[in-house]
Amino acid sequence: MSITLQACAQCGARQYPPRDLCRVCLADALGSVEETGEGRLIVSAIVHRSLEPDFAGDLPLRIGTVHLACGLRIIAFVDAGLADGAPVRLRQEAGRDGAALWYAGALETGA
Amino acid sequence: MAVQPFDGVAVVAPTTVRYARHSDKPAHWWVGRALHDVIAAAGITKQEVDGLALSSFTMGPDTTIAMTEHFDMAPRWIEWLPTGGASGVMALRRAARAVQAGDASIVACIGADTANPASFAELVRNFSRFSDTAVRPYGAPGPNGMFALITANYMARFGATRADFGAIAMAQRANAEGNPNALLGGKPLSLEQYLAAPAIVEPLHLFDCVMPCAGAEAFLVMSEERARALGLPHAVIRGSIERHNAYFDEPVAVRAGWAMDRDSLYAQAGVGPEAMDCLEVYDDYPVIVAMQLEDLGFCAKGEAAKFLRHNSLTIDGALPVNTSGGQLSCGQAGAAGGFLPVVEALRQITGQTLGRRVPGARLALASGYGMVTYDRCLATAAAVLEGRV
Ligand SMILES: [Zn+2]
Repeated sequence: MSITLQACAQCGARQYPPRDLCRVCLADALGSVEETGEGRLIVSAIVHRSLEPDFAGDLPLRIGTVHLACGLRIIAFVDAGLADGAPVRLRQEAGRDGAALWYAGALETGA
Repeated sequence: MAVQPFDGVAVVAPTTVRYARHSDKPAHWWVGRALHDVIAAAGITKQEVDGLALSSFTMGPDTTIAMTEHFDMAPRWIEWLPTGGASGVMALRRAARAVQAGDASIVACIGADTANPASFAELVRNFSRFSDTAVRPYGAPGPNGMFALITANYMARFGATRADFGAIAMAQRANAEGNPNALLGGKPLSLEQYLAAPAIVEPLHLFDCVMPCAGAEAFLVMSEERARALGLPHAVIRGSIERHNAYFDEPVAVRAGWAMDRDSLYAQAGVGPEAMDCLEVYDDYPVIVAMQLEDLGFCAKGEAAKFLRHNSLTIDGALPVNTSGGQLSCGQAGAAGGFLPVVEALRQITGQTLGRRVPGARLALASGYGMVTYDRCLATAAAVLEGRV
């Protein structure tokens, strides 16, 4: 399983959230790369109150900061049972309105 | 080249337009009311104001330039500061340089916002591209979500507890006593109440979060000579710093731009943190107060909780912090919250407080922190002010 990230064809920098030019060298040469999605759940928090009524039925929701091995940080939903600090694998799934959203899940070990 | 001193510049007329939980008046009214009150406080006319620096989140689509027309002004210098919690110190810095350079002689600096039940969600919804694309889909937690992550990370990394943050909230609530502008000032806060409050985004609970409201804060910047001629108690700027997007590679923020520049701040001021009679910091969440205690050099990184166990932040304590009660007790009047540290510092060191005063306060540090466009605030600024009464 892999994830797709925005990357610069000139200097190789990855970036998130997506931008319109490379954040490092400012080149107008953005494309995408496949990454493993492996990283660490640095910290998580539990949303009990949302600013949008649309989310009311989904609460509470667990969100967290995932620090990817490639150095980026991504705010994601966090699967149940994952401890803060745990190694995780990010994946993208369609959220409620169909848009692809990030989810942090357990990093499967072994083969 | 070394930072040029802010010599010859005076800050006067600390002004607060009484906060309201909700307002049916637009931000323009709050700006205009602050302008009316700040010139009245200084005993000058509107025509004498030839510089105007504004900050507001709810004045859209208007900015400073539109307000010159609203209020029949023809200033020769204007500034617009869309930097929220850092806008007060940033306005002060820019106005001071304009006065030094002769580009303006009297600058009115105003932070003002209105608030209605829908405005805060609306503001968050349109706050930044990154938050819209990379935070809102995750339960629309708003800034509470990002600062819950920062708080949880700080607790895990440095061993701080909810009770430590409660000490900050309680001290500020105690400081609000006697301040008629503090919307929550009449309600003492106990540790039991703090701990038992409903969860907002865990680990943040109700009393960790500011209450959005309407209000305005303002001050004038002019030459010291002018302030003396007008007979106005005033403050001079002993030093000031500003930094944006500091430490952007850190996966979760544990410090911010003050840490990068505080040596410059104290070198300019010629004194260290220990010389401050009070500290007025940006308090969108207690963890940010703790972060400023550390990054501004009052204690080492990660040691704010220990510091708090031995040093009370109340007005009669070892280090009076947020002596008006701060936003946690007054309410967060949008961009006015970014002016509150400067205005309250000015009040304390010129003896013009709304509530209680730190006896004999002469030196104050005012600090700002603003704009969570993704997962932390980007803008930091601070100034050391000295009262000349
Ligand atoms: Zn590049």
